[in-house]
Amino acid sequence: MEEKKRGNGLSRRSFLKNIGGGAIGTAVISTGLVKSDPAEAYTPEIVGAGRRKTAVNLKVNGKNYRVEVEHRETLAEVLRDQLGLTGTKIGCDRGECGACTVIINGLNMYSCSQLAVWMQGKEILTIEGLARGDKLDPLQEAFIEHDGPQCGFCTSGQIMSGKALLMKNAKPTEAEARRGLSGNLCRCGNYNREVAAVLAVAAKAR
Amino acid sequence: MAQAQKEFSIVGKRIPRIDGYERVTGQAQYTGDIQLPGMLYARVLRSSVPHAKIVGIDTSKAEKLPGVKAVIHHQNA
Repeated sequence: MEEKKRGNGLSRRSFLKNIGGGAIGTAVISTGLVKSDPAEAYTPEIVGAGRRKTAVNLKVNGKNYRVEVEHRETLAEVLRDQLGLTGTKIGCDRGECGACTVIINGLNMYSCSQLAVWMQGKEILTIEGLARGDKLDPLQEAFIEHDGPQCGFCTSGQIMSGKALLMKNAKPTEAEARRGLSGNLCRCGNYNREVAAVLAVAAKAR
Repeated sequence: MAQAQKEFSIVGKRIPRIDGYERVTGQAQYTGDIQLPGMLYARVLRSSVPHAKIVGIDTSKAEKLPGVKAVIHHQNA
């Protein structure tokens, strides 16, 4: 069986394993979005004997949480499985589809491609944190008004990317809105309505 | 036609999606969001080589892993 060396010899498993290994990997996968600032370097606090879990303090939707995570766990998994915030979807689990998009310290990122141990001290905004009580965020209202969701599986990610764009640029052009949502795939093919929703919020901005 | 449209409550009107709120707030439940007690997790392992002939399947190592309940394949399914 000559199957040991196939393709580039880099399976996802070994890739992730290498990343977990150190800060160099961190810089590679995050395409520079996560700064490996030595001053911010986090000394992991290993909890429980032999369990190989690390305690991480993170802020999600304004609430502080302390979670104990395995080093291989992604932020998407922790949000969904530990915090019960299943509005963040896992579509491809490999940084292609954008269903897991959340806003980390103001930037929209794929939470499937961020390890939970990297989230120490980070501020995370998920789809559940957009509405203020019963008052929906203007972008959520626009998504309803413009029929953004069809099956709705990508909707959380679309909205989070749209929101991140609007936070940076309250009046994006159509081209900017399309680019802002370009990391979020929609299998229903509802792109025009999702862009229309973002532009509708932009049009109301003063 | 115009008269008929007036009589309909939905046809010809702009109706907001019935589950729009759930979908834009992340509250809509999809299959993968449901957690039931005692749930098991399955994973499909596919051939790592295209167009290959299966000469043997040895699942003994996989079965010994902690937490593994079953390894199912064509010989035991």
